[in-house]
Amino acid sequence: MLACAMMIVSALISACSKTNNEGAASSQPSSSSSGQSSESAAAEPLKDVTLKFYFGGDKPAGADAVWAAISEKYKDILHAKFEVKFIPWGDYSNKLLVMAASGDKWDLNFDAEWLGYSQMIGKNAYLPLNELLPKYAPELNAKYETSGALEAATVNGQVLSLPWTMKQNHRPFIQWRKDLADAQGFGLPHNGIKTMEELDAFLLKAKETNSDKRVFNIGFTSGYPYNIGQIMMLKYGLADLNFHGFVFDMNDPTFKIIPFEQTEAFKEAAAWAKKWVDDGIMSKDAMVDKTDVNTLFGNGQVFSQYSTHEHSSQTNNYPDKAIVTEASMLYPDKPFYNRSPLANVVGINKNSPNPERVLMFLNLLETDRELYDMVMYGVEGVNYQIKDEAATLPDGVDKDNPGNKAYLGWASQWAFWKPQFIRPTEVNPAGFWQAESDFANQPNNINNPLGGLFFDPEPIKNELAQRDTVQDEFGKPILAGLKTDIDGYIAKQQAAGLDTIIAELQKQVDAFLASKSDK
Amino acid sequence: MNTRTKFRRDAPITIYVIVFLISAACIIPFLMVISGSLSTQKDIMEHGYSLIPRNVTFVAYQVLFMKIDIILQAYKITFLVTIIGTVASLLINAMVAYTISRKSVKYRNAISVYCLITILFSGGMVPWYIVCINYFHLKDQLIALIVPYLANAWYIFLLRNFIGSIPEELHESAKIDGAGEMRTFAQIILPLSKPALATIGLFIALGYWNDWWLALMLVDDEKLRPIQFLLRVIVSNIQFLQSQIGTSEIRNLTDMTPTEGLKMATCILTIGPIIFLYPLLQRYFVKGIMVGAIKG
Repeated sequence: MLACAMMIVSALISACSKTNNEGAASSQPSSSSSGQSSESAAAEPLKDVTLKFYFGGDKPAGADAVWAAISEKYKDILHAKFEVKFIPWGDYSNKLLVMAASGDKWDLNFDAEWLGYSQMIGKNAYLPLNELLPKYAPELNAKYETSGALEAATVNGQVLSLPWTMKQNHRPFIQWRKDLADAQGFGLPHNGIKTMEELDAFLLKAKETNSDKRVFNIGFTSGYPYNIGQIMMLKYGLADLNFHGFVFDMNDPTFKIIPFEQTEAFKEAAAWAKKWVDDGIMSKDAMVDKTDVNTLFGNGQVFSQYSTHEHSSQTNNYPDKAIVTEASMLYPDKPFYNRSPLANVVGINKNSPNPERVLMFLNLLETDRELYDMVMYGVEGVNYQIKDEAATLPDGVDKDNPGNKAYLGWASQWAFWKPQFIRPTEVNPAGFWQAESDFANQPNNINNPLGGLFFDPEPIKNELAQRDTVQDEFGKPILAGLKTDIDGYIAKQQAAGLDTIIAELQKQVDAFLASKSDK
Repeated sequence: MNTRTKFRRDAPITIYVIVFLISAACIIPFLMVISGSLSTQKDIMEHGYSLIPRNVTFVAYQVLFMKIDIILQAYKITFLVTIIGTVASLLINAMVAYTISRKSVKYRNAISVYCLITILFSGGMVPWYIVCINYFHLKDQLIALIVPYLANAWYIFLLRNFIGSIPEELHESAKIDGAGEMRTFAQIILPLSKPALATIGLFIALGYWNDWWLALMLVDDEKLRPIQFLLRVIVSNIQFLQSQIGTSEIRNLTDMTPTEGLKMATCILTIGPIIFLYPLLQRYFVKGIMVGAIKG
């Protein structure tokens, strides 16, 4: 009895705190409604709202102050207050999924194809924007129409997210220590290595004089074929589906799905990997060493690494200041698909109470340079200052301990980047993004016709799990140069329900292509 | 006869050796964590963890001290949650246990079965989340870190058994003396249950101290994050970084990779107070283990 009384009391307490929250929320509009009488632009007075944004990463100490300033400056146009919340990366996708599954109400969140975007789509977490986008964000919509980026964000005819408007291509580059190579007499110029054979010869020379370092670290990239596998895919004109080791031929109009282990590219990649492990260019421990390759490179422990145009064009901010790097594009005459526009997106929650206001905000971000600067960099003079067009920390603020002024470089801002407004930073110097965009527009860097396709793994869940197990046990060591039985691996994958998987995936690809051609 | 006396003389030595080995196995990892927090990143990468740091450095603690206000806030939250949670939870569990231990309560078996079911079955993560957020409105508040763990069927049963061993006559004599239920509970039953309460109090306090799940699921506000959550964020960020290293955005977040020393130093911070508390509470712990067992 007493226990029941306590339980009731605790329920009452939580209910009381709920009403306290409601009281706080309702007092907000009443205090800021006085702003309505002074606004003159809009035809009808807009209601004051609070927009809830979710981003990934750590919340910078100055974030609340910055967004309060944004809200204050644009109160006559947007009539909105902003509640900006950050979820740590490790838990970001899972927490968003749980919130979406339980029908939580927020307005906008960051997402990416390398996060849980495909799962959020699967859970119908995002609001279709087909009608709202042109109505409330006309300039943004016009931008999308010229760039065609909404293609990738469209699922079954519904526009479900707003991709970023930057263009990039992440084709394979090789990056090496120019300071060491030049000093030891075998240095090569920029783009001086074009084929695997040339790379092999170069790395052998590096091995002779740099025995204290790892010459090439196979590392982990997003996707199983590891670096050598991806270079071979480039050479043989195969495109990675980024889905359990399946590829397709870029010249094949039917987009027939091929398991990577059955290709010539796989054989050659395995042969190179074995040769490099035998020659001592690659370490036998690379598969178990989980340290980030870039960190190893920055600490001077690795001579060369797989890279991209973006990464190799950035200003070096490695801890070891003696490091000078040079890079080369491999197989420059082969085509490679541009990075998906879904690399960084923002999605509007299906249960958002104010999608129109969010779209107005995003549209303003596309056109108003001042809003862009505030959102990206903070309040001028407090969180940043402009030096030669670049946004840097204000004088007198300690780089390692900015305290309440910390805001620059906040994670998840990438989805808001606009090529017309973006400022150079320490790492991405002036002209960087223009160069990236020009690189992506080169004739050999083409758009992916299967962009926006997300496979539904449900029908083939078990077979995919089996495939992953076989891949972990045999496929990865083969590509790391530790095992050599390719035919045995192919047979094992065949026995793990490969035909079922391919049939299902092909079906999904065909359905995707059919829905695209219907438009 | 000689061998028997010899065995008896050596017995203490054997026992000492065994106990020493077991204690060493418990203490050595802890010492390695301390030494890891005082070693340079370079040493750990090249030589791994060692019992005594090769080059002693306080860099990890310096980095932590730069974020001292975050850490102090996290400590404050953890202390508040642990103290309030333990007291409230003990009260609630004791009250339920007392109620169902009284033979005169008509539906005590039904309540016991109801508690039992919560041990056996669970609706899953999403229903739990829906109940907490949509029905109890626990989002982003301090009590969100307390309420979900307040009532625990295990402890209720333990307490019920212990309180059940207190003779019924005591209660009747209290009633004759004119004490109401509440007074009997507060002034007779609770003092008599001290051993059980201390044991369970320790378990509950540990549960609250170590909890990061509630902070992860129910709280977004960074001012309400407990200390264990901070440690977990570091670890999960590392795992995330390793899985996403091909992504250029994540690669550019250079401050995401904490050093090994930083991980160890944060670990020391999170277990620090517990280490001091344990010796004080140890005797209750030992005495209380058998508390729920049949008296006799």
